Amino acid sequence: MHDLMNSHLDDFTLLRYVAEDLDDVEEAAVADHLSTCDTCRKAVEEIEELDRELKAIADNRETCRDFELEDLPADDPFRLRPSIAARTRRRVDDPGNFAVTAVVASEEGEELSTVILESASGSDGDLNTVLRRIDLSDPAHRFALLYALQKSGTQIAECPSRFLSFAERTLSLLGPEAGAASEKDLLIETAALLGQAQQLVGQACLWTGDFERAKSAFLVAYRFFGQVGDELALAKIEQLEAQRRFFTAEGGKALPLVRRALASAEAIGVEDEIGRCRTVEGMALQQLGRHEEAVEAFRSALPAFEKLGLWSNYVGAVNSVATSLVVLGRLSEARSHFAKALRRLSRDQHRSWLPFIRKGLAEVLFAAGRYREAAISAAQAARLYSENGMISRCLMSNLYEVESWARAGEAGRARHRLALFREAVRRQGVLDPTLSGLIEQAFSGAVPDYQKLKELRESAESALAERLGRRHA
Amino acid sequence: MEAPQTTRQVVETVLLDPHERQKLIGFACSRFGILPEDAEDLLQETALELLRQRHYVHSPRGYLFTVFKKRCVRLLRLRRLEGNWGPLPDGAACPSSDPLGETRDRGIAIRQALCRISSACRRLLAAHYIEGKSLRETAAHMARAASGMGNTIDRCLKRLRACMI
Repeated sequence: MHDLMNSHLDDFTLLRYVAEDLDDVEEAAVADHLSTCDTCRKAVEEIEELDRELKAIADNRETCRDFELEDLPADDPFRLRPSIAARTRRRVDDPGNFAVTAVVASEEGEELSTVILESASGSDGDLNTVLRRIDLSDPAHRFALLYALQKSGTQIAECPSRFLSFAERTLSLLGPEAGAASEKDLLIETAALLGQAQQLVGQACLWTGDFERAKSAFLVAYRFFGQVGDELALAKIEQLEAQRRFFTAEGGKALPLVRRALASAEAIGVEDEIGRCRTVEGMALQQLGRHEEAVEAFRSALPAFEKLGLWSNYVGAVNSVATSLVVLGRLSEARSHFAKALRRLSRDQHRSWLPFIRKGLAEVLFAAGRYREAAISAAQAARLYSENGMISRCLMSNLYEVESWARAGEAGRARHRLALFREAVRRQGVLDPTLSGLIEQAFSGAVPDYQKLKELRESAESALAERLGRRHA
Repeated sequence: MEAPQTTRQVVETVLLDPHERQKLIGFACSRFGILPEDAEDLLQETALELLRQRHYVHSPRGYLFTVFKKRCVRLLRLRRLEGNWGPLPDGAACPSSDPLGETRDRGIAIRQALCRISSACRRLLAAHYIEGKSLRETAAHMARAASGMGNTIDRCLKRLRACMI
């Protein structure tokens, strides 16, 4: 405890005082000091409030996990969030004019961004033509570029390589000197554009599997967004980097990072980002074998995805929660999750998402050894994929069905389905015939070679995915 | 009258409607004791941030108020750290009126701060608040394992206390 005569009390002593953790002598000394020191009395008030808040956090099942966070290693480049400038750099003499200029530029940028986005999804020539017309001194063009980069991120699954190209060309366009002359006058700082472009590079690389490049891009984006002072953008990068760490089997290093992002998203109140953070948190927990916590994380994400109509995220979270429930031996709970999701998604409005739920159900049933039901669900998924023109996914579900029937002991059905699969593959010309031949061979013995069957199915799935591409998946 | 919903409406309202603008600037000045011109700056910067993030934000009004308050708090903390800030205005640290959910904000701010303090300090707080152990004994135990623990804990508590603003 500090020398009470010569200095103010330290915060730890005050916390112990508030928590009644001092012995009688210490307590009397502190009380004596407080009777004459306004500064420490004020500090005690704040510490009492802190004590109440910490108790509330500890008493809440959701929030008490905040005490369990582990620091990231000292050499982790994401260990500390870049400090955000507290002060603005901009002073304007005419706030009305500023407001009108900003709103008009944003609205024009919104319209123009669709043109950029279309060209980004098209040919290199189209994109180059549009980017050549971008005038970086025009605020509307800067908004347009920013919005196009953001929208590309939300559509990244459609064609990661095209959007990667867009991000790279944007970085070239911006160059090292872009906008440096009169940065203060610009509504969108160059750092914001560079950060957004680097974020898109990272997002695309998550899809192409270039995780090292994704890491570098996210780190650069992180620094740029720190300069801009945009907390939501920083949280987004943390969430994406945590995803990357999950993909590289570093769940332990993903967890603190995504929880940092979650705290920001909750503080700002951006529901979809809270949901995404909770999903990534669940993925990390799943990877760490902490399935009970993972279930909670995934479940907590569902209402926001449902409310905002983010069906891709919703379906992913439903499938993930079910996976953990099966690991925990709670199959009926997992099934009821799928049933609820199927009730929630209408055949007319959400037809593209229904097969993903059916396929998820098939995988869960398969994992639980309920092969017959898995086969039926896989067949339903295949039919729905087919109706939606998702050829690759349809064929993959067909194979899943084949393996499920085989494991269910219904070799005849499995062979029949395999024959249909081979015919479909032949019609599409999307798979090496020897592979489907090998799959048939796996059935040839009295007892099918399940391990071989599984390996061949996975090989076929990879080949189909590569051949048909994610875009047509 | 129904509250504006779109990003454009929110930005136009807070920047162009003198009454709305003054309400927010007045709030920042009285709640955080910052100067009106600083509050004006922060409000403009927040509006610009909302325009930048319009595709991610589903509740523009809520976003603007929350981020504006966070920017005010950041500036206030910086000033206090720099030591060139006078005493807090009356009621600045008092949550009693809580017009914009500040009690909730403070809880979230502490949760965020918990992410940023050292894991040793978090373990100390967990030992006390989750496991019900004595602060003194836990700290003494940790001090035996690592020197300089006293300073670390004090730094962490200061950081958490800053959320009480």
